[in-house]
Amino acid sequence: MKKAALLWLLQRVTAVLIFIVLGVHVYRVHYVELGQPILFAGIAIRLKSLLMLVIDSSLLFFGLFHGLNGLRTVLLDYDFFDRQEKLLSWVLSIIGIIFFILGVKGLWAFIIR
Amino acid sequence: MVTFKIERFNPDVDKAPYFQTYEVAAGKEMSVLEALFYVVENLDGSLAFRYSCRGAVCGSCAMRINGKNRLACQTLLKKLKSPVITVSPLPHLPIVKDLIVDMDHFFKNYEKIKPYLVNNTSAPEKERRQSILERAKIDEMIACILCGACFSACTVAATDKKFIGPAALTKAYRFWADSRDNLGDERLALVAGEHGALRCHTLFNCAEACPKNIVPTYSIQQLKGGLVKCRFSKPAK
Repeated sequence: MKKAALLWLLQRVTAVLIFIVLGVHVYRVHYVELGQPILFAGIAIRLKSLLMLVIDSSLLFFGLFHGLNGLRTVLLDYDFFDRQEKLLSWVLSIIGIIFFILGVKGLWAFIIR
Repeated sequence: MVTFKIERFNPDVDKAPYFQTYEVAAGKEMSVLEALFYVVENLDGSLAFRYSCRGAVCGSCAMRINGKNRLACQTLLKKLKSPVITVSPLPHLPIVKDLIVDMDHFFKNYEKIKPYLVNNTSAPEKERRQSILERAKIDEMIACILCGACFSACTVAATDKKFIGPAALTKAYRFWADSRDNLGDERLALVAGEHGALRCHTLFNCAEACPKNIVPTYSIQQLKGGLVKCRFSKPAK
């Protein structure tokens, strides 16, 4: 009971958080330097900003959680996946962790080498 | 004359359901149930369907009429505005014969939620009184006649056989929100877990199907809120 209620609540919370951090991300990426050419140096400056790295990493984390938890909810509608609920949860968690590490590695490339 | 395409299936004889066409001499105010009576009395006595009250109170005659779950007794032919009327049994439920479906699973789910008031306090001298506002909270849900139209329309109930379903959840909310009931968190625990209220995907198919215009999704959302609050307070038994 506890796990189901917590995951249900987190799905709603992450939806709201995605809305906020995605707004900041879109504003920073597309509107701060509107009309100017997209240059490697410009992207490097953005990805050296600690605030933007935290925002983008949060977006990655919330997006992955929301997407994979949503997928889990849909798959559990089916008896086949329901019988393997624990395995499914573990597999999706591992997929999430791998993609988060890969994403963070890419995002923080200008700071951590 | 109105053409009726009625789904037929006799599990003892047929391998798969099939449609049979009948021409019904339709009266001005004829309901689908009356048209089915006409078929049985004049055209084909072997057609099987369930009915009881004929007044949209018992919920026995729920079936799929022109692609929507409805009560045959309260569906008038003139309201369907169609020269051909297709009638089939409620989907996602095992067919017993023709338009009769097996409601066993539906009522077993209903039993799970303890569909009766529980109050452990000593009984008052007269009745347990309820204010107009307290009653208004559950007014809509009390109107549920357990016809199964919502359960059959729910795609989650169709795929997840453990899902308790919108009708049982609506009734669960009806008793949980009733000021005379004091089962509280214990009642919430009956609809908790992966296959309880939280499994609902908020598709509103149930609300669309309900012949009593109840919105089960509202009750289910209230239960979800209660379950989350319960999660951060004391654990339910």
